[in-house]
Amino acid sequence: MDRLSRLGTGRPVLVLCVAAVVAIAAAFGVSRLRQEEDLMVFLPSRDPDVLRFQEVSRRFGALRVALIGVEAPTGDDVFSPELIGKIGRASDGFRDLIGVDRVVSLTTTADIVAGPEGAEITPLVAGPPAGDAARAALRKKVLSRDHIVGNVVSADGRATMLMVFLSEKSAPDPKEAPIEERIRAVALRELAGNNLVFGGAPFAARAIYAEAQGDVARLSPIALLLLLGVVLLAFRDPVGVLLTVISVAYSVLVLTGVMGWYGEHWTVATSTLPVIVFASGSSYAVNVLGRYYLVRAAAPPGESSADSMSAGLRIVGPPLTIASFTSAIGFFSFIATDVRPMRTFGIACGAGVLLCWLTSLTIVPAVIALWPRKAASSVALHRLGDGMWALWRWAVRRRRPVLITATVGAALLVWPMLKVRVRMDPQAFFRKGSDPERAHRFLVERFGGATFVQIALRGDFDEPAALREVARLEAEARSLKGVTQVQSIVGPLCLVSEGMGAGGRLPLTRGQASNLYFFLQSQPELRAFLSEDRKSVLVHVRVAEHGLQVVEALEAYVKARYAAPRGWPSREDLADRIARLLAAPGRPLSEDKRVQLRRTARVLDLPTLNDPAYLRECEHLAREQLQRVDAPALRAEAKVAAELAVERQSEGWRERWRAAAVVPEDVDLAADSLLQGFAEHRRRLGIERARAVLLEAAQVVDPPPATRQRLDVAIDDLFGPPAPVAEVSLSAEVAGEPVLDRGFSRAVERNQLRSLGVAIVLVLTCLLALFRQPRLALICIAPALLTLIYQSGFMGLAGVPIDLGTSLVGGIATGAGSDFAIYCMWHLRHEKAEDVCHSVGPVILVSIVLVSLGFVVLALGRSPVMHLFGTLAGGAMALSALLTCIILPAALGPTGDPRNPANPGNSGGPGGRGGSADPDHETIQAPRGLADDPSGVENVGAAGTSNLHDPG
Amino acid sequence: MRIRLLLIAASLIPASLARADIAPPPSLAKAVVPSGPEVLARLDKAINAFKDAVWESKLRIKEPGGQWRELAFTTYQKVPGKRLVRFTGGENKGMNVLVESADTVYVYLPEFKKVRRMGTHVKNQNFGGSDFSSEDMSQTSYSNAFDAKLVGEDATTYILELSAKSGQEREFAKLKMWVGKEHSQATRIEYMDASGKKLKTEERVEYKKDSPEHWQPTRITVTDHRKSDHMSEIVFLTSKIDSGLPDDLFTVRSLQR
Repeated sequence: MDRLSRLGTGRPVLVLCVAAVVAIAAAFGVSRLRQEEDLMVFLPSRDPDVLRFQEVSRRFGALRVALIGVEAPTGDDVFSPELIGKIGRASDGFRDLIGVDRVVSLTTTADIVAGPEGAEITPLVAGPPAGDAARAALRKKVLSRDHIVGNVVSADGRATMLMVFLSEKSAPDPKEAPIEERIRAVALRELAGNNLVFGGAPFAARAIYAEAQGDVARLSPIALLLLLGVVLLAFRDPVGVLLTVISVAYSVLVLTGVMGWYGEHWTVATSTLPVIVFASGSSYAVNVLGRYYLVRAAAPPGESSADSMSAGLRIVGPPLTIASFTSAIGFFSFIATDVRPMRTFGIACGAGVLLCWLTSLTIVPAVIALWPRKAASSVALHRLGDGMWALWRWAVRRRRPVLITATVGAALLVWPMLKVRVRMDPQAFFRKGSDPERAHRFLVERFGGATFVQIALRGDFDEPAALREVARLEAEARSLKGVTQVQSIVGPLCLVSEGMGAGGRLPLTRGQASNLYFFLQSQPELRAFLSEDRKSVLVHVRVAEHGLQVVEALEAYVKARYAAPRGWPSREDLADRIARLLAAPGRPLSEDKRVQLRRTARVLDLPTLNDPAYLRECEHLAREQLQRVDAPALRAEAKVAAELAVERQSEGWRERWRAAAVVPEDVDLAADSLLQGFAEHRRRLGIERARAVLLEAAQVVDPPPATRQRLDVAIDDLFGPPAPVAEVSLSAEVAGEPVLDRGFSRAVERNQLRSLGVAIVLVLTCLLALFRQPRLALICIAPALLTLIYQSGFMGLAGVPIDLGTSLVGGIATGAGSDFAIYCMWHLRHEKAEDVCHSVGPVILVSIVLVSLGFVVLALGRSPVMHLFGTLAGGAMALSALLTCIILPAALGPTGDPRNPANPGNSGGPGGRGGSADPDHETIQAPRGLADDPSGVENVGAAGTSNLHDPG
Repeated sequence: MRIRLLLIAASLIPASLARADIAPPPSLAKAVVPSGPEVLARLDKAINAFKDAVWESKLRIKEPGGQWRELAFTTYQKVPGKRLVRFTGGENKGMNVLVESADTVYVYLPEFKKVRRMGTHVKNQNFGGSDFSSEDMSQTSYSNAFDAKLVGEDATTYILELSAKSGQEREFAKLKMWVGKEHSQATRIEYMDASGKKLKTEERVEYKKDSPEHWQPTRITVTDHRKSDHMSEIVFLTSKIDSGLPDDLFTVRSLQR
């Protein structure tokens, strides 16, 4: 320590040369820094919820989706020819961008329309409608598609969404602008004139980084100006001010350079590094210079600046070292977190603080040694010293009330402190009016919510029983409060099944499922629902509110439901599914109605084979079959009789048909197809009849078409499979944003406790090592701990949640907040309280102001997270300092540190002009400032002469 | 839609590649440089000079995990425009597709025992999750859709730049095509957007002469640069040219057999 102190003053040229070389190397390192734009790196690496979210998102490609919301002009809808044309061009433009995997929009979505002969697969929107009638027809068609409304177009038709899925592996091309910027450029070009919003993870990440960078660019000069202003006001020495600033700037340069050389990425957290290092590190140079000016002012004529600096360093060095280490510990405590960028941030900040300390002990003395400075006039400082001393005396006189108030206040705030919620709400990251906030509002207002809960099911989804479980899960989700939309593979499967003429039902056999998937799997939008191996499906549940309750309800459901293999659903189970489909979200059907539904479901059955309506339908079908283009050719002489037998399903119709055929084998295929048709029509007839009965049992009149379709799918299942189906084992994971938020919140809470624990233990250890007395160590840390309790308590009372940023405040406050007490306590061991207040007190106060203002500057940030962090951290520093000034004298009592023989009350001690041991009967003179009373300086010098030159 | 694409995959591409029946005329051999439209016309002629054929092929799609997914099928084709695709293996074995016209496709679904007519009009869809789009799979003539300009030539290849003709709505506005002088077939096609940015690259390699007048590539590989160079390929296992396929093979009834 002493050697280090002597290095700057003894070999200043060498120190500055080495510093210059390091700065040049650091500058190269800075050029190697790469920006990290993936917000996902901030996710805790070990939390099971977070891991599940990441795995599910990766499996279904849900993480990298850029959303472009388009609003039609006021009074219009999105079906105008002009806007449809624009959407088509924008979709083409997005698709042609390197890095785009697929685009889902009104003009890229396929539609399957069933007809009597077959299915037409057409674009949902083939192009701009020609004329009002075509436009009205288009609107009607699009808004009738359940899987499109609320997903691609809003229910009122006034807004639409274009979803651009980015390639998972696309590496950014350094020659190209980032993909989200290219998407935005295409959108602004092709969709000009419409109100656009940009959402999804790529735009959100870009917005956060842009916001943070903007804040840092804007706030760094403010922090610098504040530093300059405060230091200039205090020291009145421009060179000293410049030196303070340069020492911190140098530390930031070296730090970022090392990060660059080390290959670290520049994240949104580390982007705040310059401001934070300015805030926490500038006090060291201030303390060194402050002490230098004091010593210099008291120095005998002829003493060199280097000697004065050495003398000052001997006094200020040890507390500065301890203080810098405790501050650094506050930051280093983030290594206990499982969020890698926050660990890096903590290490970088801690290293920055230590660099500032090192710089203040080497470069600052070296500069002073080479370019001597006179003692600055410090007119303002003595007033600070007076104020500090007055506060000190006040606290000593009222030590009991002070200590009781502090203790009672802390006790009262413990309960609200424990009630502080940890909430990682993504929306809290975005300021009002930012892109993500506008997108969120757009989704909530136009599409019924911006939050999705996702349930990833694993199993064999070629199996009919597995698909019924997906339908059951859909119904369960729909019935939950806050749910506005549920989507899964069930809807598209039923749609294709309808298109293929097999009825809008789920496949009844594995083979049927395979045939239907064949058509579905070339649809890019289906990849969000079904994995390529069909062993995993994703059910998307859109929630307007109560996301976490929905998650918990679904977790309970899947845990109970999939504990054992599932077969074809029972009638009771189907009745329950139907009850949930017919209920409004969050308002289940009454028990009476559910009982009635169960009773009804138990007795429902297909029409008998003699049912007149069924027979009529069979005859009609047979007639159709005989007239088909692919009907087996019949011999003329047998044609009429055979056809009549087929139409009426007479005894032996199949054989007679075969006998009349030119190629008998053709009849086998046609007859099988016809029998298949009979079975389907029988089911359809059964569904129509059952629907009426079930709606009556549930007392539901005229349900919406979409509900009716889902109801029909469930009723179809009531009639069972044509052949036994295999049982399936399923497993489910509930994921989605609420799960991520829950995991993230839990991790933040855990990380906060860990880092706080680490900080407290390490700071206490340092203090014990320094003072060798547990009592003094505890008194030193008490202001920081009380600050934590008060601040957290008030946060609890005000309902301010802890987020990723504010969770760091505890560690920082413990480390940096203890600094003030350490400075005071250290000097109290060697000087009288009054002298401490007048000599180092002002310097400490300047440091406090600097640190607090440095953090408060962050409160001017536009980013809400930075704003809250700056407010709390700045407040914590100021409160910690204030508490130090009150708690320390109250705790130490009128005698101050008993180990200090110079303290009042320790009679016979040197410099005992401080006054009475009993502040209530104080006889001391009014404290004198340092500048307006040179004798005071001399006194200080006299009081501390031995201390100044022999601190030990 | 996918059916149509599959059919096209199995038939049109081979058709477009199979009949490069023309050796360069002596005049060309004497370094008379043809114009772009002339080179393209020769290519179109090679594509469409075709009677009937049977191809056994497989489409291989590289999955994100690195493994290949395969679809095996046999394509029967008879000019003009009759095609039948039979899936010969895998989970959709037994599914058959008949193409009567560009917009009308019949599909036989074995599990439903049904033939359904499918009208397909969707552009820009990929083929079975592959990197082949409907448009580049169905390309049977380039001259009617593109204006050609000869932009380069070396000892073995002409290089053409194709631009979509006015009024033609194409998935790719521009193409750059390398045409082999030996067989008048494309060996490489780069698909570009209107600004000339390369979006996709198709390579047709290992041409083999499978009849006295006929060259066929063994492999067509497509790399989609928009999707991190995602790759798919069609491998032609066997081909039988002009074997005299009967007309009744291309009927709805035949579809069900």
